Amino acid sequence: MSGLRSFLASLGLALAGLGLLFVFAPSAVRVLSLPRLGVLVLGAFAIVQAIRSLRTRRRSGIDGAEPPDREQRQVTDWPGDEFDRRVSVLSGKRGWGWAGGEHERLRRRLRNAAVEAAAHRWRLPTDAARGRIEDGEWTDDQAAAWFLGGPGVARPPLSVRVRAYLGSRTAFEFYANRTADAVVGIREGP
Amino acid sequence: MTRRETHRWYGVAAVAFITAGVGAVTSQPGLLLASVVGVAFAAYARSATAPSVELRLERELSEPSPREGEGVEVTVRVVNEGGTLPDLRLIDGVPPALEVTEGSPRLATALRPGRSATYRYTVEARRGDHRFEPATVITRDASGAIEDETTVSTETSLTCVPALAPTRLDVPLRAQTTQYTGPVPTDVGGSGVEFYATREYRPGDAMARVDWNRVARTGELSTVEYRVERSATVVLVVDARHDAYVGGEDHAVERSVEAARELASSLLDAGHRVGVAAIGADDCWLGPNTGAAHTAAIERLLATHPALPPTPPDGAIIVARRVRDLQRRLPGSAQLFLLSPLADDYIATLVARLEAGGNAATVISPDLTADDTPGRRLARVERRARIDRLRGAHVPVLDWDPERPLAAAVSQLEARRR
Repeated sequence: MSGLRSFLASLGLALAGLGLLFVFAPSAVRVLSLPRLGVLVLGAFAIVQAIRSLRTRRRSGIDGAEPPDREQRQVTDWPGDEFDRRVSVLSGKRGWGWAGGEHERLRRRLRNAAVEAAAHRWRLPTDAARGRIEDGEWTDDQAAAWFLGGPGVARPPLSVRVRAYLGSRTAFEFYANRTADAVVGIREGP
Repeated sequence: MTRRETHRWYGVAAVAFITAGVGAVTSQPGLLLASVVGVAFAAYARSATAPSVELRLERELSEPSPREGEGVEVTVRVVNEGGTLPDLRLIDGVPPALEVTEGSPRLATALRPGRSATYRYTVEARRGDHRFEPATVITRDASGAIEDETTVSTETSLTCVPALAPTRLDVPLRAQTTQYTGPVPTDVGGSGVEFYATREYRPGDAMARVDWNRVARTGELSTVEYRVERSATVVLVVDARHDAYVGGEDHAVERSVEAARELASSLLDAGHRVGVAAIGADDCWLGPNTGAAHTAAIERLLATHPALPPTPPDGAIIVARRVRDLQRRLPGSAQLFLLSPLADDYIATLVARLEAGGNAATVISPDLTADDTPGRRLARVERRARIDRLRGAHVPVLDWDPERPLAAAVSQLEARRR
């Protein structure tokens, strides 16, 4: 125990003892003869301290060790989990916010998958499949077509854009997920 | 050791201050007195000190070398060699690849100095050399205001080496063989069992191989040739890079090792020379050979080699070095079976390099993709595209659903080949 703690504990014990003394011998209170103003100041100080304690409690919560889970075997990721994780943390608007390295890497991955899927579906050479993606003519999903397409591809309808920007997910996640499903659709479609 | 204040008594201090303050301001002696209880609790918590932790751990296994799937009872005894521990929680360091099937690896107790506590739980044995990790210890003072977290350890390991069980797998080998006689039919005529062709008789040909029917019909001497059968040299290469550890609990590396066991068993039974390698965290190579000692070496390697840990390895893997070593060691006559989930593009590149080096390759790929999120669905179609690319380059690929026996998938590959 630190010196300060010892001092405060001793002081607390002494005051508690004094309090008990006053319980059993109320007449002894006269010795202190504290004015009413002094009592009010002490009371106000106690209330301020109470508020401080409550704020500290709310800020820090109850701290404690988090024991490791040892009962189950370690579970590894499934293929594609890392894609889901990455898109869920990316945000920004197309044109400037999506030009960054991570956004571009994910779009490139989706574009490559779309090119391979289009080439497989319509038995196209790779260049022709790439052209379809660039022109937005590979899917009925306007959001996916716009997400991977060139500047000439029409923007998705207003209702889709509103959903993308007001939904619980980031706009990038919304478009990336729609595009992933569109790629799956043409690779596995009828 | 990590020490922390739990802050669990902060609420009591606030209540004590409020009652004292309101009691003083409103001149209510009863309220003021009531606050004494809270003050006493808060003071008690504030004056708390953490007990010293000096524990000794003993751990005993009912069977340190069990069979796969066998239950192993773990007995843990913890002895307090320090002061009184009013609140002790201990979580044993069960190896991450093992599952607790009975009981619990957790203990919550109070221990006086010199006293001990013993408890038991059961784990299910799985392939691998499993070292128990240090047990996590959490102690608190009597009020629970201060908490210490530390570990206590003792060396314990459980080693499970599954045997290469006899299987009836008709392994689809490619036409790369050795000069030794074996079960692989070649496109070379000579002595054998299956008819291959007839040719003009040459002096010295065995009389038994003369086509006497033809002699009777045409009067010309000709010799029957049979398809020469040779043995093969096969190296099973397991993809154990970080990217191959996918697929939940029974991940792809585990499935690949299972398949490697079946393949090795069948190939050795058929008289082929079998080697094993891995592209993983450690250098792993067992040159092709046959015989009982070699079979035992394969069993041990597939079970316990550090390159094939049952959980994803820590740290970086220098894949290029592993591949260089593999290429340097591969005999020119060896064909490869690459076992990989094809979760990335690397294996396709590797196969192209190995084939260019003269080693025919077959890919066996456990399908551990899922379809419940966009990313998982995308990964599934990406894997299918990789398989298409490999097949387009005339590399046989066995797309294996691990829920089905490997033998069924192998027969599909044979059918596709025909």
